[in-house]
Amino acid sequence: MTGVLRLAWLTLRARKAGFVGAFTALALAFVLITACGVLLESALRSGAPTERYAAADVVIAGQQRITPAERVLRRLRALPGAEKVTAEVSFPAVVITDGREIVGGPEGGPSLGHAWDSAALAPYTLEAGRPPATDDEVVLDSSLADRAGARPGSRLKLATTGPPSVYMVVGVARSPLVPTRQAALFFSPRQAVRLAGGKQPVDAIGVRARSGVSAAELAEQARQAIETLYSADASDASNASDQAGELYASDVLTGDQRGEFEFADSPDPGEALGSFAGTFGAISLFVALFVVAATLALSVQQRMGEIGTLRAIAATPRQIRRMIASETLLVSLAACAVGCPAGIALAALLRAVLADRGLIPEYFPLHVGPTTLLTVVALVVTAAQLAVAVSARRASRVHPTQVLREASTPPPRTGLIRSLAGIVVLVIAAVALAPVARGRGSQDTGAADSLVMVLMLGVALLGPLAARVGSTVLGAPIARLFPVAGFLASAGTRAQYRRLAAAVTPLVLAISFSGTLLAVPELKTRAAETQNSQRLRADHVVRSSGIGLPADYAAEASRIPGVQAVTGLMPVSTTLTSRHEGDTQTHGGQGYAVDEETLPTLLDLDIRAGSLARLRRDTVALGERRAESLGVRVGDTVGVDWEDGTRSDARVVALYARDKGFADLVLPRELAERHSTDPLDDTVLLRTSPTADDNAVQKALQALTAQYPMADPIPRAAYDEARHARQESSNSLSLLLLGMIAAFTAIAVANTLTMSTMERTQEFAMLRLIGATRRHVTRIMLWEAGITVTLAVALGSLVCAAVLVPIALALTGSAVPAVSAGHVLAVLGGTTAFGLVTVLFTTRLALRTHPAQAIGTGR
Amino acid sequence: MSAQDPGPMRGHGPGTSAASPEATVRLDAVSKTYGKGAAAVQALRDVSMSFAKGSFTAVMGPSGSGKSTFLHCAAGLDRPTSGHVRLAGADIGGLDENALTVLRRERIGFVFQAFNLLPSLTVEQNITLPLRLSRRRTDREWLARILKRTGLETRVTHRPSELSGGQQQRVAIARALVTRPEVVFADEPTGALDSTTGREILLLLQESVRSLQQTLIMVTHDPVAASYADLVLFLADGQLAGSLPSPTPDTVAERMAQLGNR
Ligand SMILES: Nc1ncnc2c1ncn2[C@@H]1O[C@H](COP(=O)(O)OP(=O)(O)O)[C@@H](O)[C@H]1O
Ligand SMILES: [Mg+2]
Repeated sequence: MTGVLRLAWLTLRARKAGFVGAFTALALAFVLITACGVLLESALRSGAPTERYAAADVVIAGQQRITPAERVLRRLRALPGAEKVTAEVSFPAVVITDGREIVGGPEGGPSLGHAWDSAALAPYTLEAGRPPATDDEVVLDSSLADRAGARPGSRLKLATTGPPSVYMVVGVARSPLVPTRQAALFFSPRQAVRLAGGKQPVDAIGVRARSGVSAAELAEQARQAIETLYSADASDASNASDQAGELYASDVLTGDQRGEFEFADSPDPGEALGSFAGTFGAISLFVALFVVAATLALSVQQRMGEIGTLRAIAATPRQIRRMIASETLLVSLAACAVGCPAGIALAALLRAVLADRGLIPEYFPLHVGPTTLLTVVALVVTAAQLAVAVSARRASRVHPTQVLREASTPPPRTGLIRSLAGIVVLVIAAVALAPVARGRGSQDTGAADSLVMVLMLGVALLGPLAARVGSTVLGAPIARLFPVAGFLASAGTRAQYRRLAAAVTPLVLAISFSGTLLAVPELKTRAAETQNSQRLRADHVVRSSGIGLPADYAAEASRIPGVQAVTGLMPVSTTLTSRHEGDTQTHGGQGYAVDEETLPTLLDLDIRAGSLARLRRDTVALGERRAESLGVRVGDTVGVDWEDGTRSDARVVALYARDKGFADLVLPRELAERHSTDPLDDTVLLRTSPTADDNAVQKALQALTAQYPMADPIPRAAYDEARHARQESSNSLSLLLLGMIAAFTAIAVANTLTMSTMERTQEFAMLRLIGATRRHVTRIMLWEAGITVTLAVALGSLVCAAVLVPIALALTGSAVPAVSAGHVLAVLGGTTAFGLVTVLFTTRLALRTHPAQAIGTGR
Repeated sequence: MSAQDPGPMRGHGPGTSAASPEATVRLDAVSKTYGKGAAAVQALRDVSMSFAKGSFTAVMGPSGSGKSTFLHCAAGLDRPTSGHVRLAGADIGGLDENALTVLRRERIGFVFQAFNLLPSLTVEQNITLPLRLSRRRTDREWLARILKRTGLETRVTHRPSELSGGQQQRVAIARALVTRPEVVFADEPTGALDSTTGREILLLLQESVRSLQQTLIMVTHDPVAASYADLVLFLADGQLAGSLPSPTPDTVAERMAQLGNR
């Protein structure tokens, strides 16, 4: 051990109590950041291995179907490295049991029908029975067969792209991976093509490499082949119209990319976890480092006397800095030993909670890798060193003789540079928030909620100044009204405004984060619900589960007596392109195909330009925001890339405002059907005539589920309720986040308040020796805590308002955020109570030391 | 060694347990034991003494001899294990924590080696702090006299951090005088000061006691400081080990050396 490190070690051993605060803050930082790191790594490593393409070294697939498939297949077969080229077609297909239950993909995974010849891509191998030969024969994967209770010879009702019909199970095939994440149903090639729709449907092409050819080499060959095909096509097309551009750069996929494509439409557990861990990580990294920096600064400041003594016995400033750095390093490592394992445990707990809420599957594994742990340790240790370096520098430069006075009162001026930096940071936050506020009613809240962090930084920098002003404003009347305890508390906070600032900052942090984490989802939920109920004019809503509703369902529903208007909402996934003056804009377009006749009766989309009456044939209505990003207006033409791999032009006939949480575009069903690969409605909306008996209609709809078990009809009110419940449960994740941040900030608050109260044991002793009772001291401390908390509540409310008002403006157009009074009370009252109780408790603790002991024996 | 003798230079009887109407502080067979069982330390053993009104007594002894313990017991900061302490006319054994605090506030002054002042208060606010705590009005005339005597008139609005160590001790003394207490306890009041400043402080203490007829009990290990007292009491191993009237630095140092050799 070097001299300085040894000194640091001895100091630590001798003054364990003095380092408890720093240790606690650092250990908590390790807990939070380790937990995030582990979750993030697990999310990143969740790369889904392919199931269906395990036997294909290279897969060619894209967002749209591959067209013209014949030419692409020909090119691929001609590749020198290709051993076997297999085309695959996919379409939704599920089993309907006798009990009218839908059996599809496991854990929300896909359930797809294919042609038997593409079973070789996995390969699915027959476990029993034989391949499907006729149009009404099917082979199920073994897991689906188990769940559906089917064996070769069973007759099963299947729902696919058309009305449900009965098939004969002729075989059961084993999938290459068990357990599977999807269900596969294999039809005869002819029937598969029929169900998939289109002339020569190909959704993906798998290529097996010749022996000696690597997947990468084969992929390269395939890429070139497709590129030449594309450019040849493009030069052909140069004289023709847009319509000729039929071939789209399909991706050439290898390795885990194959699985990504395979499960692109099913919820990606890694992504859900990744986004949670990302948000959680960003906030907790900020909060943790913030708290660590504040705590370390406080602990150095408390040791000014000791540092002065060391300086007096001729320690150089450099030695002081190194000693403090070494101490911090030792405390960090000790905190790491406790915090990292606890962080891993927290990650495991969070994983369990997330799995419990269905956000990730039960089986989702946790990865605890050395890289993550080392990164976390390096990050926290470095951050602690940086944080303490500033205070250490200040401390080491103190002149030995100055120390005793330095310790008793801070230098009279607040740092000018610090205040200026704080103002600059706040201005930056204001500049970022202004456009959100200006976009009244735009529904666009941007990154407003994440600006809490920037605002907090500004508040922390301006903390001493705010504490000075605040203690004067609050202290003066208190001192006048309460000449004993109030006066002393006021004098104490005014003189020790830095200590006040150190206590206020974590409280502001607690209020700001819990306030916004609680209120922002609340505001967003309310706005979304308002927009939803304004948009929806239906009296009954039929949602699909397991598989979409075939078009016939809407037709049958419209025949129910009393039903006035019906439309299905058929999801359409497109890519939209606008072109003007050589400037091309391309954006994804998630839309709904509707019955254009009845649409206005069932949905009030808030038309801002054009008219839905003109929604006919090759036209679309665009949501305002998509129209804006594409730069198109009513009357303009947009290029639409369809799911089936074709492209056509459509004229924009209307722009609507209520697009949030709904659709980028709305188009006539007839147009969409021509290009859809699975023309199924995910929702059907009904409106009854004013005289109709809604119970009878609901009964009739229920009766229809015998034929269409995927239909789930509910009356409007129940639908709204269910939607609300769904919103709530999606908010529960942010509540989880809130809980953890609140717990952490609470500990930080308790930590600083305890540190700054215990520091005053001698002051209390002196007061008591000259005749202050315990009650006097307790009251003084409560008044001080009152000033601290009031200031924190004021600043915290300002931070919350700075974020919530722009969000409220953007969402509702009103500047008053509709936050429930209970939440406001919980955050402000909770913080206040917590602050006061902590101070009360620690004051009691500090008063337990006998005053004569605390002061008399001196040092 | 008559306890009835009211003279400021006399009237202290080490080992005297006789009742004295003039004694403001009296200890009767006071013992104090810290800890229990094998770890028990007997810091005071059967100590009896009384301090007459208007006297200035120094209590001396080697380190660990029980000086601080004596002061704590005499001032009612700590309760003796056995024996009685009478302070300003009251047997403090019968007083509860609050009554003791009020007694301290109104009848007793304290001056310590360090940590005497509240850094957030001005000189004047520090001096009048005991009055504020008992919600009494400040006697401006009296305050002016104290300020004048302690030489702090020009410093009233300063904060402790702006004062020298000697000035800070003056503020502590001024505070100990502001309530016109009957007894002032001082624990090494010059311990943190240089010798010149220490002298000034001791003279100030000596003079205030005289003019206000206060009882001053000072614990110190410095023979020079002790020589300002009328009488020096010596403690060794928690027991009274003699007294020295009209002390000089040399005679005190000599006695201390003897105690150290025993
Ligand atoms: N709180 C305590 N607990 C245990 N022993 C103590 C305590 N305070 C003092 N002592 C012991 O009592 C004896 C007298 O201490 P003290 O009165 O402080 O002596 P002095 O002030 O003369 O140095 C010493 O041996 C000391 O160790
Ligand atoms: Mg002592």
